[in-house]
Amino acid sequence: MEEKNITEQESLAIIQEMIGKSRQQLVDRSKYFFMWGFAVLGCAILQYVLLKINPERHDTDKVWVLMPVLAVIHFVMAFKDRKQEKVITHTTNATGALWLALGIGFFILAFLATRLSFEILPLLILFYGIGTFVTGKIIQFTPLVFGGISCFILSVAVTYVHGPEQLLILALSVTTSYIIPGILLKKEFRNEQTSAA
Amino acid sequence: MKNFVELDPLLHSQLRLAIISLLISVKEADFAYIQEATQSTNGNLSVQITKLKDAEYIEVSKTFEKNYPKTTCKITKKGTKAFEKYVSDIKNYLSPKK
Repeated sequence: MEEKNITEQESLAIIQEMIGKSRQQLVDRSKYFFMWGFAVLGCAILQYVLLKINPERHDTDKVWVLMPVLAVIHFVMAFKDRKQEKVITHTTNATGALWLALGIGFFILAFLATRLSFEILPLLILFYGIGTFVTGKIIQFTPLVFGGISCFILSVAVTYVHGPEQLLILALSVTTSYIIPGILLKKEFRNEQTSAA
Repeated sequence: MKNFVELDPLLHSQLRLAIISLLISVKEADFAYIQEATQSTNGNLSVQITKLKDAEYIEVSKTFEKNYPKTTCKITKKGTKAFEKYVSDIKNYLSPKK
């Protein structure tokens, strides 16, 4: 592209072309879905197994100590990603802000659940649902929207289940909202890369 | 007869319009990305970015990443308004019957 004067029609064509280019910018964020999805799945199943082996055991909650560690790792990874990105779209910015707010929300929720002694799981699953549903709508990726809807249903369903089996509902919720959409997102990104090449 | 206003000379140029059109649709973009999208040369792009920066249509920040300089551009409110006015003026040119 050179520095030259243009006609009005050419102006419109340039505007259209450039806005189109920025829209094609798809960012692969599936690693974060995998990281959290598998971590929560692993912790939920581990706690379930521990409780099944010894239902009297009261220290099984400690498996969740991994979460704050993961939050720090996530923060460092996201910071590095931001620095390396050639372009930050409004979509990336909006989803980033959403998950930052939800991330803070998860920890506040955990704190409030301890202080006020309420059942955290339904709200946790509801939060997962809000995050994936809104992200799915923003990036126009249907599997995430369905993942979100599945969490809305599971957040209610978990209240009808008692004992360690609640952890299996939690495991199911991260599988439908993080892991499966994450796999499909990765696939979609690879397809986009292949067709762009 | 409709009165035609003069199109903003700063935007009514191929490369500068391309830069602004690109930046209007993203939060920020680095020099390499703009260069790739606009298919422009290093020198020419630098000159046009400086012109847009001097007019306060864009903000330019320079950082270092792995010992390499990184230039990031972001459209300003003034730039957004100028772009919106430019688009509106262009519409007037293209539909002159009213």
